[in-house]
Amino acid sequence: MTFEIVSFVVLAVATVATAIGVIAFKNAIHSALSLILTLLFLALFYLQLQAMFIAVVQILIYAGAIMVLFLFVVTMLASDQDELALRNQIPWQRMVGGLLGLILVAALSYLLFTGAQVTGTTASHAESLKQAITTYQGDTQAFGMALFHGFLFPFEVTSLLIVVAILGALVFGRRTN
Amino acid sequence: MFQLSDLYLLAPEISLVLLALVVMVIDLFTKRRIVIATVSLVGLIVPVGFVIAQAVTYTGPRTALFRMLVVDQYSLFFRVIFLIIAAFMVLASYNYLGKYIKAEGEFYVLMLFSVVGMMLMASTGELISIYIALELTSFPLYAMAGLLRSSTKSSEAALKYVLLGAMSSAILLYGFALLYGLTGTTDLQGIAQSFKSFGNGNLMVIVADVLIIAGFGFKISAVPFHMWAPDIYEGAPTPATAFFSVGSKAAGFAALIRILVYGGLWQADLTPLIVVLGVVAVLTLILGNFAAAVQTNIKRMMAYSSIAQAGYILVGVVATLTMSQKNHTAASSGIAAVLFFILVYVVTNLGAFSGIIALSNLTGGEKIEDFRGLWHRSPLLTVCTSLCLLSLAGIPPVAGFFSKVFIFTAAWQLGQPWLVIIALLCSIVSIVYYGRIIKVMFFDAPRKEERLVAPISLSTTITLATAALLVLTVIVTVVLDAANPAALSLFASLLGK
Repeated sequence: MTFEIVSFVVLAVATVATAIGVIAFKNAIHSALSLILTLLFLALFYLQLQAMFIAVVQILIYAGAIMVLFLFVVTMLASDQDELALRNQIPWQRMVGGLLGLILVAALSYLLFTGAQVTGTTASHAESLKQAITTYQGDTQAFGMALFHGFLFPFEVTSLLIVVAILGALVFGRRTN
Repeated sequence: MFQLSDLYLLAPEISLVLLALVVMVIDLFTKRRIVIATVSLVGLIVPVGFVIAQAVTYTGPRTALFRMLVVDQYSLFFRVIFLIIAAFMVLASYNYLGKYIKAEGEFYVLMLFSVVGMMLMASTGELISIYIALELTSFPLYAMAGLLRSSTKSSEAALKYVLLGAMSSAILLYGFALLYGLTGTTDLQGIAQSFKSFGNGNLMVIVADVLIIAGFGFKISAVPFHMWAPDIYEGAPTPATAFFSVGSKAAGFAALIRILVYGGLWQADLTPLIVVLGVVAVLTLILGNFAAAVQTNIKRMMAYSSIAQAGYILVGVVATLTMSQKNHTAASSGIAAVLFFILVYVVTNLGAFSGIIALSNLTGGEKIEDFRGLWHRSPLLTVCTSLCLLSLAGIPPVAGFFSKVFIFTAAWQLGQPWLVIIALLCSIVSIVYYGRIIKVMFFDAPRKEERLVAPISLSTTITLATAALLVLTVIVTVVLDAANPAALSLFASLLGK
């Protein structure tokens, strides 16, 4: 139990830090590399939840395939960073935004921690998931059953989503004349 | 389990997807706008037919595809609303597309896909499906906002819309994740069952709900999540703006009410949540109405006006939540009023927007002063637009008056007199800015004298919208007879079994 908590905290801090890196780095390549780290840490989260299949898929597809595409695009398009440096038009904006963000984080963590104590919410509710894993012996099967059986409907709607995304990209990518 | 007959329940959406694909293919072969528009309009008959067939043969709520698809009176009501939006949009955008946008076929295809997403948002009973449907609704909207390729404002609108949309989705997903963590299921009926056992003062439920409301707050443009609306409404092509103002809002409310009521969240003690939602409603009403009063660009004014209208709907939602625990039948009257309001709002706003599209197309300006003396130049358009604006303001003989009366009486009876008083005061303010446009159109001296001849598609749209508005005024009771069972059907899953 304690090992789980310690590893969770370490992972959580690392994930958030690298995620901040994605938006904080000036160089697009650095941002992309930071994103790869974030995705890898997420995969470790899945491992910690004993979801082997999703962890592997996360690394193969997100940290692997998709990030390679990202890097290709970034290296092809990246130009002189200095020219693109945006001037901050409303100087106090960043400070107020940071302050509000901190307040949100504080409020959410306070409410979540006290809320969890009041209700005594534990992992007991997630039993159905455990059951699924034991019935199908191994989570690849459980995952497949969930995806192509119980969650067939959203899975199919996702294909429409991809069609729309391609169409949108085509509209914007087309040369105007 | 999956049965072939389940597909019948999904038939309106499936046929609409097929229509979108057919339009996409036709667009490859012919660039003639008239063909594409006609196919889109005529093709809409198929989904409309399926919805009518389902409504006529309706025997009770049915679920399909592992309880992910829910076909009850509520989803049928919203399916009708979204199909009305699709039909109006094909007509209203026809002329504008030819003039300003090169990608006509894509505009229709994106619009139809977005309508599919909206219909799914109203008729799924499961969190993941609702989220996917929400994205299916939003992705086309992002693209539509940026279709004016030569305008930097349009590109800015698209970029802002994507960023804010992604952020609101993240907040929404956080709320969904908390709900899942609390109940162990993403099925709304399962969530409703497990909420039966939750006691009072459950902070986690409130946190999850607040996150969900914040996420949907972007879609329905409630204050303080409204910042995107004016910029994006102004920058996007006007038909797309009309589509955002009705479609995204109606779909957002459809899903929000579905989660709050059908998901049985009202069974927990929601007093803090009601306070939060009440404050959001009041802020939305005040900011929307007062900011609308000082705008000079008509599209920005309509943006703030649509924010204000979301405030009235929120009043109805708050009232429903207050009473749900004590008396379902009474509480459902609040939702019925909301449903009626949304229907009237959709028709009226589409009418007002097609009037604005027509008039700004003809005069070439989007400032309110460009509309001076239009009564002398194009009487039909002016009268129809004025009627729609009057209905938005809630002036007596038109349907907008009834929709406001229903929502206010429902909220009053459900124990929210203060909200009603604030909403009433705000709607007095709204008369000022809607009235100003009408005054400018009728009484100010025109800049030029020559007559304006509106293109046939636009004058048809606005005449149809105004006619629909007048018909709605006459058949108020008929619509309410449909809205009441639709509202009750949300509670049915919990009470029936």
